[in-house]
Amino acid sequence: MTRIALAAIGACVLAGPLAGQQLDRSKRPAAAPAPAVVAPVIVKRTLPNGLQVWSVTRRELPIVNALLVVRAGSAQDGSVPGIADVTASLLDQGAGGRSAIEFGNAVAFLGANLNASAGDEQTQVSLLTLRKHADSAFALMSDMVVRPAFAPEELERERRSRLQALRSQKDRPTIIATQAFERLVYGADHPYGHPGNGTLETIGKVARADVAGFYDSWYRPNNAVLIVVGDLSAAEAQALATRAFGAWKAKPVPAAAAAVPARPAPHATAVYLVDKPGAAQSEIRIGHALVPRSTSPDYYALRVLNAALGGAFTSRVNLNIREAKGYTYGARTTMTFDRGPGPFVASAGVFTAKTDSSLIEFMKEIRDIRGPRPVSEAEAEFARASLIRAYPRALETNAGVAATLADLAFFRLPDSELTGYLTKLAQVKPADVTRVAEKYLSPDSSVIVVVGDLARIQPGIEALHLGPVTVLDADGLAAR
Amino acid sequence: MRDGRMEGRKGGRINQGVRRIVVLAVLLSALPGFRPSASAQALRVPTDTFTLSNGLKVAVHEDHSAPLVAVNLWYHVGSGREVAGRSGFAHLFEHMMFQGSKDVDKGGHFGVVQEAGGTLNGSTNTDRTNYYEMVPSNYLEQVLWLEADRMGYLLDAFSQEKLDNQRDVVKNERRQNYENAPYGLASIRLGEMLYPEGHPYHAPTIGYQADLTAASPEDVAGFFRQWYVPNNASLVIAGDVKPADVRRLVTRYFGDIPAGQPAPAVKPLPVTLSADRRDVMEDRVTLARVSLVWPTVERWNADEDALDIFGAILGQGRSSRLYQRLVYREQAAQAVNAGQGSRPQAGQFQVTVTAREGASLSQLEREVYEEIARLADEGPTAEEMARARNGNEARSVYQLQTLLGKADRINQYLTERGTPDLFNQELARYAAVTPADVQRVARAYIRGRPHIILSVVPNGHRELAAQAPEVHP
Repeated sequence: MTRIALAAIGACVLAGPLAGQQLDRSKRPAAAPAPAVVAPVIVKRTLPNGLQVWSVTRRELPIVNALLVVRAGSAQDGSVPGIADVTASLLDQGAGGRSAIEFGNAVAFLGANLNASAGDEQTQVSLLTLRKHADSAFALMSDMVVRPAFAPEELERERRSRLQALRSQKDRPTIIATQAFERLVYGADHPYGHPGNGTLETIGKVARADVAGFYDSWYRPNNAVLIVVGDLSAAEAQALATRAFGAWKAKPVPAAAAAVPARPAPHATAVYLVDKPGAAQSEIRIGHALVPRSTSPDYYALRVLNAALGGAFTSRVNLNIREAKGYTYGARTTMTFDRGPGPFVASAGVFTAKTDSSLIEFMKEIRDIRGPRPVSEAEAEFARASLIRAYPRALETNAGVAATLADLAFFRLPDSELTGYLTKLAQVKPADVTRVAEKYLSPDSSVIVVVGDLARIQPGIEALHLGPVTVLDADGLAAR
Repeated sequence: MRDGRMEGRKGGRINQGVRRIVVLAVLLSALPGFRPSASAQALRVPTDTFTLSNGLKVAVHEDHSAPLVAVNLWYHVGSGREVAGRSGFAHLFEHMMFQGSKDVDKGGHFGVVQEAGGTLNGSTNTDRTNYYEMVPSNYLEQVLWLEADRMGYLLDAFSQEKLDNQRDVVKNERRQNYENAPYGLASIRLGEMLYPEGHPYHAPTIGYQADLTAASPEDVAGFFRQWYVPNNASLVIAGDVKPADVRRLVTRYFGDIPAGQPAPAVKPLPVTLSADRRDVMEDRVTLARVSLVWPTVERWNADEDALDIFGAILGQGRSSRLYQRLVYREQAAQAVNAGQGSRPQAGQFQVTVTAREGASLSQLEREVYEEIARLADEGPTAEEMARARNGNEARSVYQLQTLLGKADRINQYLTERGTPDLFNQELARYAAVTPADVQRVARAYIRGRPHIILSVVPNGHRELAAQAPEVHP
């Protein structure tokens, strides 16, 4: 009786405001008070061999994520472009006494996701497993990282597969455009200037000694961080890490590791074209090198700048080129922050007939935000808010937490940065945004790459007089 | 967008085969140092459901593990309900839903959600159109306000200019994802070949350029009035919320939107082929590719899971038979994939093999048939069955990692079966499949059955296409 009565009262209370109060849809409702931001609690230990182990306990689901970050990527390729990538690919092609096929079967039997990939400055090995299989899954991860076979026949198989992939990637204008852009901005000899997956020439002659040498130099516990996130205690995480990686042998890594890649010398804006006869769209890349993440106090202002200029759907370039003009399915700018000066790039795939018009709009937006049409207080507030309030979303999953921590570890930032960066973003003023736009965006010393149907787009591009125009070969590698 | 750094993708692609769930029991010994856990993994996704007087179905899933809320709204209309000459319209209409409504400016929808630090998008397939947002939980009311405004009052803010702009955007989406992408147009051709004209799955969701050109303001108004009514929609809210609060807010914002005409029920429309159909396309590609497609069964058919397992063992991942033979041992193929795709009105089983340069597509096609026959005749091994089940069990848990993922799956269950929580039932169903079931469906639908064979070859090289094999005695 009591429960029924309470329920009835509840219903009346709920119905009351609906009956009596007209809903005014013209006003956007106010947000409720913001929930507290809670940073993950990190437990850190270092194994005797120097491997840092960071763990976070999250009990929502019976799963465990692990992320091993090795401080070496394609920037460390040296004389064999692509070697970091090939090495990462071979880790699970036979390891710990299992053949490539046996290893793949063992991972599949657990229903685990276990992958390795090389980026510019780091190689990541990532694991997702049900908690009940964590021991077995960590053992496989350990085999991959500590006991890879690098069998000659597996290298040969990998090499042949990659040569086919390299030959067919010229079918993809997006890849041609991006690789040509990076090579032209940095120069082929710069750590960021060559394609991470190598070239036909370098992959064609890669030898086992190259792979083993790269592995021996860089895959060391003292050059890595292991992040474990999920349904386990810190003690359990430490025990797993010790069993899996305790026997991994330390060795000093090459001194060159400490050197930060240099900023390439800027050149006056120049245009590079690659012909794709019959292409329905043109792929555009515009930009130049930026600044390193860790040495720039302007990092936070640059983040706000990018959010306003091209980092989101609501940014200037997309609202202009997509939502006002309809030239593209999406236009954007990205800023890559690395140990060295990563690239700033504005990009889009645009309708062939609107290629020159799109270039005009991109250049206008980049120039305008440096002064003629600076970021307003409202735009800055919007950009700050969108970045700051995205924080809980970035930490929704174990993998999200691990990626956030990996950033912290890679750049050797203090734990306080986890929430401290929110405070620093909040302090960015419109004048700061304009200052860094003026200082770091260089429309007059940019590389502009366009991959498209030159018979239809080249005359229009030349008429813009953006800079000297060079037509590259079909791979975007050399002048035609 | 392709790199995921930017939001705003309006998917036109079919969302196939993403529906695996499961359970159970790999016989590995208990792990030292861990608390014991049951071998069967119960999936807990509790929901409250209610229906407004205008027919809007609502489900609420409470999960306080992060201060976030996901809102996921399905309209039960996809490209399958388009009329002749208006292919692509359901998806173009989806774009119009982001162009503002009576009380929301053009761009306002993205603006409100992104200012809240949220993410949002929509997608259209042959069977439904979904819209979703994820925001910090204190912005729930703003999101409901946005969704309700466009459900009730979209046409108040409509203009020819907005239609023309989004028509251009969608045409560019088609150019980017189909015309300018290697093999992009082949997926369209496969649908045309397998499903007869007039079938809901014949035309591509992205549409044909001429039909996009023909879309008119009258089409927008008519489509909205016919399909975008609360009794043809379902709303799922998942996250850091209290069900009573959600019920109050949903009633407040959606309660007075009038119901429309009820939509006709959707029934399975399976197709059959009386003989093989073979075709060749030329494209700007370096590697030739052949796709084989068999008509099979629709979503929720009793044979769906056995076909799924057949596909996994045949051609998914490095453990699969086609990978190990064609890619690993013979090194004649660059990539293989096989799998069952189930949609509400029909299903298909597809095998795709990308050849290395110099390898023969005809030979690869023949080897696919050999592996299909061997698996159908001899059946899967116990280890293969265990891998398929274990993989499915793990994915059934992994899919619960995100609120958006959970909300969309709840809405799928609600839409297709009228009940929000079939997570464990799907798990159990998959786990119950036997090796004999796998053999049976392979024989019933695949082995020796008429199918589509589509080769995609480098421009000017039709001689590389897979040829019909000679008739065997």
